[in-house]
Amino acid sequence: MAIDKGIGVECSNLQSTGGITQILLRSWDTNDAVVYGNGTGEHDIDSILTSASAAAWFVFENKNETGALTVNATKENGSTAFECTLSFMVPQINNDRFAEFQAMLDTCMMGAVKDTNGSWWVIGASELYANEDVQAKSQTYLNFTSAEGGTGAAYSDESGMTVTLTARQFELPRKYIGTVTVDTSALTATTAA
Amino acid sequence: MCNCEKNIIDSQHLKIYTIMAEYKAKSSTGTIYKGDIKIKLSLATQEELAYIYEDLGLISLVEKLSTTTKKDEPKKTNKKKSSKGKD
Repeated sequence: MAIDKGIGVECSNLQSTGGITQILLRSWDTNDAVVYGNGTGEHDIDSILTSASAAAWFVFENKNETGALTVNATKENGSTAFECTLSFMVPQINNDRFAEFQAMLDTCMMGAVKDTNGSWWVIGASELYANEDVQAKSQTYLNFTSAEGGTGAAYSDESGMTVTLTARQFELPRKYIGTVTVDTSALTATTAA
Repeated sequence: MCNCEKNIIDSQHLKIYTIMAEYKAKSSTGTIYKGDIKIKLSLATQEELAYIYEDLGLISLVEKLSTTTKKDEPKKTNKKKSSKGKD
């Protein structure tokens, strides 16, 4: 693929902000179908469905300004790997939260994060080197990699846990351009076309 | 933080949908994001609900309540009855 156009920078780009406002996570399902968009000027995902219906996600709320998506690329010879890291801090440790973190240890996930500029980014679902027939068998999933936190020592210390999830994929994260429905009351979400 | 999401659904075909039917959100919670559009179900207008139902096809979130197409249909049966009465 050759470079086909340039990149401009406008005032609105310079006014863009950092951080993420919402985090959605889900485990891959064997009936998942992800449609990737690769047209000119596109690097996106059109839809994420399960058995042709909207795919179910869970909302992970976190302390403001602690959620971050970091992408690090390294190229060796002809291969470029992208370490896409999502970290966020959940305040106050408790039974429910630890149970959910425990469930993350051995599941293959995908994540969707909404940045403060209104874009949804998907990590752990990528087209390059994906399994041809069963997308859930792709090895570029989002994985629990570390957690740090606890009670602290001083009474003024923070109780909570910072969780880090990483997807090692071979392309940049894709923007989700389908429909995302988020219910922060039920802590659930769906993605559709 | 920018207010990138627009809450504007302004399309002629949606206005037509709302003339033909009434839409109701199945839940009072939840927000729908599609590109730059953001719709809160609890505050959604009829046109926004029509957009969710008809354009996005999210029938699990919105239901179509009634149609008013009968209003414009010709009253064939009534005419027949009245003509019989005259005879």
